[in-house]
Amino acid sequence: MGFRQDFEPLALSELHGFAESRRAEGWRYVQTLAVLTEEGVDLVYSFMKDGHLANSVVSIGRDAVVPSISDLFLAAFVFENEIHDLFGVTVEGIAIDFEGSFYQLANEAPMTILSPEQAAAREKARKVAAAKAAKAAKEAGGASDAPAAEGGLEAKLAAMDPEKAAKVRAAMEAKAKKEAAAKDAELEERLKAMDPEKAAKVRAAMEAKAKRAVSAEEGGE
Amino acid sequence: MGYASKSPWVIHYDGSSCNGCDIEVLATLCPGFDGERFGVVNTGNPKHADIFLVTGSVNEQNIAVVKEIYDQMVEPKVVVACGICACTGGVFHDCYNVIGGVDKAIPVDVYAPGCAVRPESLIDAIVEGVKVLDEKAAALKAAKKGGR
Amino acid sequence: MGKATVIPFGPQHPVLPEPLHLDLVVEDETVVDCMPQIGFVHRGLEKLVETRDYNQFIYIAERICGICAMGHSLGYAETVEELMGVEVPKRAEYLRVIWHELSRIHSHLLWLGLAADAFGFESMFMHCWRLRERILDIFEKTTGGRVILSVVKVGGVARDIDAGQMSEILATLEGIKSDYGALMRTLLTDSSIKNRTVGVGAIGYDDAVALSMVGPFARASAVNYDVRSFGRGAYGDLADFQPILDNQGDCYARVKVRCLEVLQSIDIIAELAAKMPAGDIAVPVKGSPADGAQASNVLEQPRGECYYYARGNGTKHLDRMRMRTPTSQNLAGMATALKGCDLADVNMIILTIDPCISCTER
Repeated sequence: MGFRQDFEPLALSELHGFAESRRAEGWRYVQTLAVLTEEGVDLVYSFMKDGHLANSVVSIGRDAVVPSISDLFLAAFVFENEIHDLFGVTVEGIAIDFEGSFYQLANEAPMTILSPEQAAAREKARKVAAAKAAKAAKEAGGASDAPAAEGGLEAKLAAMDPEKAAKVRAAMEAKAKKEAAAKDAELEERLKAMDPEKAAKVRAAMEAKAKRAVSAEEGGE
Repeated sequence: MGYASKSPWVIHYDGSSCNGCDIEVLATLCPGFDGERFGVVNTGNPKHADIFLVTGSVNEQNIAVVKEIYDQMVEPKVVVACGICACTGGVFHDCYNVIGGVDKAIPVDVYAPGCAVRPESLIDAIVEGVKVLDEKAAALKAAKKGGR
Repeated sequence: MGKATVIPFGPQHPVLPEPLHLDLVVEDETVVDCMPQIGFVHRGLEKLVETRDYNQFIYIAERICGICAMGHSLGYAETVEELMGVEVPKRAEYLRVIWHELSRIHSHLLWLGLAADAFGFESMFMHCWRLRERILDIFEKTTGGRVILSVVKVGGVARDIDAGQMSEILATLEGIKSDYGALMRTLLTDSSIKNRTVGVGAIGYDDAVALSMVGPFARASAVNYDVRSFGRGAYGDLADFQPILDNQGDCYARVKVRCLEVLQSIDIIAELAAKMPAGDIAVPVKGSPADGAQASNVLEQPRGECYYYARGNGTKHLDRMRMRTPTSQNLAGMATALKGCDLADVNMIILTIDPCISCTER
């Protein structure tokens, strides 16, 4: 007997009928679990027959009401109580319903609380993946090397240990400051050598540019 | 050795542990390490016990139970925190449901670290606990005499 | 018709190694209904995937349960390998199965001791645990730990067993057989033990299937299901593997199935040790699971089938890791078996499902 597994999507409205047909065909109920997603919660129901592990993924919003399958499979009551307590999913008609006191917890629906660091880390990973995809598309179109190189560096930093990445960034900033200071010094030399009126105009233009850059940054924040 | 410590009876409770330390507590009392030759007997009744062996990082639901067993024990009594989870919360110290160690629920006298705590460590911890038990018994006796 | 009384059982009880609370509704000496209350061991460790990356999480997975520690680390590693498409070398698969079968022997011996203690046979408890110490010595010699082994990693295993250690292991297991034979004879033929176990807490085949039971608990009711018969990993190289079944479905049958499984595990280890291939014990694993990738896995732990699920999100941290342990599946069966039994048999019935509450609640 071989073993294989697959994942199939399933609509919430078809859930109870699907479970009934599984029972009629002699499938064994394996488990129910919940995963937190951007849009809401994904419920994965698993059944097994003759070595085939079939996982059905039901995507629901946080406020959806899920029909219980514990009338067909009594063993499901454990998992349905658990997803109610940990994820805040409402399940109707559980055979043995603990009504929220299956686990006595410090916070409500703790698995839905995503810490800010985690949310930031996932955002970053998404940006890195998007940057990689954009880079691949650009290379296919034959773009220049410079933005690609930066995208690659960003990706490297994102994949690094955060402390190390912070150190690298700090080193990069320091280097950039040094370069900018060197550039300023060079420009000063050139201005001194220039005509004084022209030098004053150049300085005024530079200040205006700097002001605009600062306000753009603030506006962007 | 005072009279209370010649044969310290222990009561064991699993305060949200993974069972690793619990089976090492039982292994200490079994023929492999034989804690029973020191007179250590595992009892289920808090009123009969001198030493309370707690394992586990104690979750919200368990705080009341641990306190209840501790309150039911009769003075002089000693608490031994077995395993690193009972001492400081162990690998689970940042879990949402864990309060981080038994000493946040009841006062602890001896800490025995380890994951899982080794039976040799436990025997050492019980012997330390017995010393504390002697001190407490002497203090009780002195307090009674002083009261008269 | 007697008056109904409610007797609270647990969470602290001499026979229970773990906290579990039952409200038993009793009429005279018969249990009429039972309301379980769990949640005393819920630590919420599945949320720790957010702060530990997929390599570090294996240490958390091991500590879900100290008795089935090896099984959980193995199941977790296999699931992540499935998620990332990593193929483990053959020698590593063999080593994993040898440690896993040793873990099964230690778990069953532990359980036999606790079951004997549950009906009052304390010296049998001591004998079983004395034999178990020899298995723990093997663990300590080969991995460094008695209970938490930490020897499985994503990509293979962390340590090797050389030929000298392997022959020592086989010699120890042979040495256990005669003592174990005496214990088995006592457990299965002694009349006072039979009085306490035969006919107690019986669950028939149809009920076992309807309640989706797994593990030796179900195999004692003639449900022919054992994940090892799928032949994955080193199990596929066994000449012949047949799950051990019994059709009585009572406590005696469950004791018998577990006793025979110990002997079966000793034979499996001997067979695999003879066939062990040479080679690497691990492959390096780089990168992270892809965003949105999902994988599931099943493993036969000493208590039954354990289901694992992992989902990646493109970072080194998994999005979700979930273990569904055999005891959560068997809770419905336990609640059914307890109805109608005698109060004195409650201990025995609870213990024969081999409850591992810390596995259930994580």
